[in-house]
Amino acid sequence: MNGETGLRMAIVGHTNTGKTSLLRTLTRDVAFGEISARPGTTRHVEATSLMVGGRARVDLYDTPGLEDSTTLLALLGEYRERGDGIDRIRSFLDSAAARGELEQEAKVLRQVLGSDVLLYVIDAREPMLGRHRDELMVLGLAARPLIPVLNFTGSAESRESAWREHLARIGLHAVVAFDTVLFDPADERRLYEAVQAMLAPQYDLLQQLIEEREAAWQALRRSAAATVADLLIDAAGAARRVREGNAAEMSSASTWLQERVREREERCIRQLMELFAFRSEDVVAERLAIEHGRWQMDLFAPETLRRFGLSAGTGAVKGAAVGAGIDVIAGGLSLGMAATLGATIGALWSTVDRFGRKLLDRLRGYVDLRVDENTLRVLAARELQLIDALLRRGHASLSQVELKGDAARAPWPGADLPAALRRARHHPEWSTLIARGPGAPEAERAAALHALQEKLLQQLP
Amino acid sequence: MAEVSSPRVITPFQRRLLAEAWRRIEETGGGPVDTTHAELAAVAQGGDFETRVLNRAQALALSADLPRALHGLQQAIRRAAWTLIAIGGVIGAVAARSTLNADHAGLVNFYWVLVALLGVHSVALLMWFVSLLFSFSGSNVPPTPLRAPFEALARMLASAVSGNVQRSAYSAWMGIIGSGVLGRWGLSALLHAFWLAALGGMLAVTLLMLSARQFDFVWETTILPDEGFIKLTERLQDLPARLGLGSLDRETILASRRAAERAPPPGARRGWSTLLIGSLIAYGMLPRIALLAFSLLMLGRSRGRYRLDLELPGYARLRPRLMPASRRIGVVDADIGAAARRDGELRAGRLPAARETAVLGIEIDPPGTGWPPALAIGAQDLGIAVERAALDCALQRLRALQDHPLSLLVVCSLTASPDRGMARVLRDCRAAHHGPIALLLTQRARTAVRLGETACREREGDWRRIAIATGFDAAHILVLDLDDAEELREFLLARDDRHGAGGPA
Ligand SMILES: Nc1nc2c(ncn2[C@@H]2O[C@H](COP(=O)(O)OP(=O)(O)OP(=O)(O)O)[C@@H](O)[C@H]2O)c(=O)[nH]1
Ligand SMILES: [Mg+2]
Repeated sequence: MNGETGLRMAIVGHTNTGKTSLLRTLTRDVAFGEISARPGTTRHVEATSLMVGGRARVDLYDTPGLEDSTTLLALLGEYRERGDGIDRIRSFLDSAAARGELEQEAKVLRQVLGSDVLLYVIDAREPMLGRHRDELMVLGLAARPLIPVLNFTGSAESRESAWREHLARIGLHAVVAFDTVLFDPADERRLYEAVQAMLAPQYDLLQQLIEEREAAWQALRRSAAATVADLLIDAAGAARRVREGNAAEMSSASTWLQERVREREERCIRQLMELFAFRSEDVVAERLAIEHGRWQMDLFAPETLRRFGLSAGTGAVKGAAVGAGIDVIAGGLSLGMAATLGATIGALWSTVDRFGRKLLDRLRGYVDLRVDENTLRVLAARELQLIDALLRRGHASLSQVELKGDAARAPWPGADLPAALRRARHHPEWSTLIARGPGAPEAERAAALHALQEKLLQQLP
Repeated sequence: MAEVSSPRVITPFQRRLLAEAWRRIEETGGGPVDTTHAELAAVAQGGDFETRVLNRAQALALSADLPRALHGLQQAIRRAAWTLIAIGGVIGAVAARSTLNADHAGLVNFYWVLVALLGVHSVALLMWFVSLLFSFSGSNVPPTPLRAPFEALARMLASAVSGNVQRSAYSAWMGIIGSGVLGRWGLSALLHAFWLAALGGMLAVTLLMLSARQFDFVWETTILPDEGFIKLTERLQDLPARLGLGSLDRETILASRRAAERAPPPGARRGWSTLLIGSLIAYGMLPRIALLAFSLLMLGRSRGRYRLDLELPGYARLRPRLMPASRRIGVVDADIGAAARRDGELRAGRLPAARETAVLGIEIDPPGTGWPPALAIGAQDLGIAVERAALDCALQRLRALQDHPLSLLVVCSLTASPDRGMARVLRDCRAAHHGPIALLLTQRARTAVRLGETACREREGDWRRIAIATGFDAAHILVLDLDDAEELREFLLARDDRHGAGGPA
């Protein structure tokens, strides 16, 4: 189907070694096939194709597991006089057994004969057993280049080095470690390079594939950072004008802002999941995790801040506010007033008050409520953690995103927020959280966004 | 994929603006919920990511009638710009008229008139230049003199449109063409066009008044030296003279001093008028024309260079859908005899009544509590078979032991998959032995860690199913972790209790 330049790879191996998982991860397709911990999940040969240069050029075939290779090998032995390995396989495929008990094995062998290269998937937690040798012997009859792929190498029980040793002793040296759940782009590259080394005629095609994957990975990192920068600029600039000293107005404005920021963070998480091509159900799973884990914590609670290594509030406010406080930097005048309010409102806001018109507002008794600086740091920390987890998440993963919560620190500790973010605090018109006037300058916001994006990229692997 | 049915030709720049407006609409929750069709079409059309984003946006925006709305906006902007230019012309004309009218008796101070006509223009030019420099110095701020009027204009236009979707599209578009490089040159062009019109208005009125009325141009000073004015006038004349619009000589200039001893020569009026016109053209209109052309050129270039910022979340999120890493082909070799699965019943197992036991491990690591397991007293150790040859050998030994009243204990690990290969092994064990036979499944804890509790339970069920299918008694299948000394001890205690209670003391 791909003309003469295509490449066909069959994924083979014992049942339950993660063949379908490998395909999901290589194709970034979370819905390909069916994955389960039970044996014999895949019962047909299913094909999918990797896009290279915008065209489907590398076909991948998911096959059923080889379950009873011992019997298969014995049967193939009976056809010894029929010719070479391929002829013997053909004879077997024509036999009654291939339509009966060994139907699944027959499917695998049929596909093996129709492929240019085989990826033999191994559960690296298992020791090398007789059945592995049997399987390799059967596959060897087909005389196709074969690359052992060690799955589950991220597991503590992985016996990767023992496997490499065993495989080397039977002449298989181009072994690739590729954990389909703990994704690492370098492993993926090594996998394609191993195929490249075995199939000289397809060198350029695979090289293009490798380069496109690398570019896509970089684009993913950059876009993820931009997505978070977008969130931070929105949150930093969001302001609500209130009459100073009016406790009711203050608290309702504070609630309003909190709601907006939380909604905005949820949107950011959704955007990230979409960007990384994880299923929308994954978002639900993550939301559940949020409810049960530390994500459930109130973003604005001092406890959250402490967990991320920050202290709540600043200076004088710290003492006045019990559990939370208002961080008012309105020029001394309102500090006492705000500190008192802090205890009742229980949220962290800072009023940033600068320049002409705002000064006028101050004189009239208005202040701007804004998200506190530490809250911005926490937002950045949470989103960076999520990106970090998603960058290492294979598309075969069935679990929820795991966060290494406690060890994590907020970015830029002990230093000022990045300049772009500080600028954003003075540009409420950049924030999409509040109604923006027509003609709000896009280019200026974009410039700040990209500056912040670069800062965030430094925090990513 | 339907071509754009809009009657107007859409330029690449307009396509990008359309996509940009559409992104805004989608981010504010507008647009259709299901965009799959447009996305598949965009993928089929191919091209790089930006092309696909543009194709997608165009297809979707069309259904929302966005192109028409944006075309309307463009018309409105154009109208507003022309209105502004027309106002400039009128202002220029009025300024010229009031300047030339101000003096009485046709006696006009030349320099006074010149400053009145060109002064504001020069200051505005300087301001434009300074703000341009600022905008280059990284702060990205477009020429400030027009910022406020532009925003007012934008607000005016936006308030004229109705509907949330359209309004957000409008404001997005205004945000793009009014800021950054595009804004810098667009607003500059508008500024220069405005001034060009104003100067044009001045020129026209000045010409009109010079033709229809008589003015005597003079110059005067109280404290400055006369020579300075003469030099200044000559310098001023340099540029217009190149256009053929300056012919005043030293004598004429000197004679035109207010209340000079000598009367100005007959050609003086004409000479001064020519210099006035020439100055308006050379110092006013020509620079503005040049700057207008330059700004338009730069505007055209920056439009040509304008690209979507594909890293913005609104676009980036589309990447997996528009630039998929793979495409599914489907099932190529279907399952014909999908065997129905049944979960074996979960029941606690036990070992057959105590007698001498042969123990055989299948594909397991030696258990943590030692091999053979302590629960089979007086055991015949058949070893652990990890490959076919070893198994055959063990089964051979088992067959040799068949005259003894012997029970067989097969030990397997739950971490292994109960597949057909394993079923064959169990069947072979069953066939080789005529006495009671039991299956012990070890490593439950490890399996639960690996698979999770639910999947582990499922696996247990699968093991029981194949064991029963190969001839094991459901009552003789037990799950016991041989790696766990504690669990093993408890099992042994419980068994001894049972025996103690059941059998004769
Ligand atoms: N932790 C971990 N689990 C994995 C990995 N790869 C696969 N799995 C799990 O292993 C089990 C089997 O995966 P599948 O992809 O269905 O295996 P398969 O080889 O396609 O199995 P069959 O289709 O039944 O032959 C599933 O529970 C997967 O979640 C891995 O790298 N790490
Ligand atoms: Mg499978």
